[in-house]
Amino acid sequence: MKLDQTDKKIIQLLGADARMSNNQMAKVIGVTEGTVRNRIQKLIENKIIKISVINNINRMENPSVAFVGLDVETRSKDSVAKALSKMKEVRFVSTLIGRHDLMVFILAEDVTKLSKVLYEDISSLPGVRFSESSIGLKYYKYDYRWARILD
Amino acid sequence: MNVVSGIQDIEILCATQSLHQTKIFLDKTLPSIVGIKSIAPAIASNVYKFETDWTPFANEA
Repeated sequence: MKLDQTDKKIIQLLGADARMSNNQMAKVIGVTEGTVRNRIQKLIENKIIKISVINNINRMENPSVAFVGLDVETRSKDSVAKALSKMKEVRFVSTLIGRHDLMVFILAEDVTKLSKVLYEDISSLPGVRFSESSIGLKYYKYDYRWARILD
Repeated sequence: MNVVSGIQDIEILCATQSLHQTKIFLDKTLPSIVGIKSIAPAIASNVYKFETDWTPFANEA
């Protein structure tokens, strides 16, 4: 789907405030409310955008974030990635071209939970050979407006 | 972008619009930052899961 300036402006406005009304957007952009409504519908249908709620990580008492590089047996890469994707605490899973076979981001409620995910759940998956973890200490930037939209 | 403990000091997840932009970011933009000693880049080839419903809010990051 090719985006025009109206689409891009709608995405920009929704990115700043997803509760902005279609009427408000229409006035800002200089189009009708119906145009805005139709464009949003098409953007969602074509998986260009997804509208969801963002939770503040600080709602958790002691959130722990880990970035984990995994080395896995080549034939197990897909099955390990799918198993990881089913874990609630795992927020991002991707195959990699680079230093590891898979990259995983984990967000756990606390260090105890993080430890369980790392050393019990992930380590016990068939095909996992080695993991290298980095623990998040301080967040400087987190732009949540770009993500891979999956089914 | 996060400061981390582990084998690296900083972890960055970046999205670019093309391989050319990735090359510029890795070859020019990052090395031009004073203090960066080395980088260990990796490219995501197939994304299985990407949930962004929990994040640090900007003014608290």
